[in-house]
Amino acid sequence: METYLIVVAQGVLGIGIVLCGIRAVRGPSAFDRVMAFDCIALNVVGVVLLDSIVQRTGAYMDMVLVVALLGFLGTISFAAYLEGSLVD
Amino acid sequence: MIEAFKLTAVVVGVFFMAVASIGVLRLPDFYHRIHAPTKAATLGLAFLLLAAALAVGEAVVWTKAVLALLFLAATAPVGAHLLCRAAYRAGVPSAKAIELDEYRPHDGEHTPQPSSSES
Repeated sequence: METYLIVVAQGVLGIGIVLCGIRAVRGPSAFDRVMAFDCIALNVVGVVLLDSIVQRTGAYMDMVLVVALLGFLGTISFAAYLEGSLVD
Repeated sequence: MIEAFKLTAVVVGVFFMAVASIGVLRLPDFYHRIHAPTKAATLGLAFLLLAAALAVGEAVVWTKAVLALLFLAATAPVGAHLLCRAAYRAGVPSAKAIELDEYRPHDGEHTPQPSSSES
């Protein structure tokens, strides 16, 4: 029961990754693409958390922290680059 | 009882994550779309972190879950604000006319001119 529900939940998050990927391909501006990849990173974190529920291990929490940190750093650096404040 | 809480948290968290992804795809312009992963995905990840911490139940996992949640709640608004400001300055169009536009450069004579002292 629980395993089925979590597999379905991971499928829903996978569909979410596909939707964000469509936005990343279609996105009219580069900002849409940056935002879509940020959302993909959050969805990946969600899938990893659901997998840690199935396996009942806390070994993935470090990966959650690292992926969240890298997503934030990527968003910040792309925003600064696209704004032009890194050029000086 | 803990099982019921955990599964409820999984369902609620996945619902909000799905809402965030649908919003990223479906909302009309960039300034609408940036709201979806900022708010809904952060709330969804909060519920998923709660579910994972309830499932494992160790003190280390609770600490890391709280740390990850604090980090996400602190950084998601900052990143969204920076990205939105960069998009405004780059001239990304909005779907409707902006009513209150406090970033618009003024045209009066009291306007501080942009400094042209670029060395």
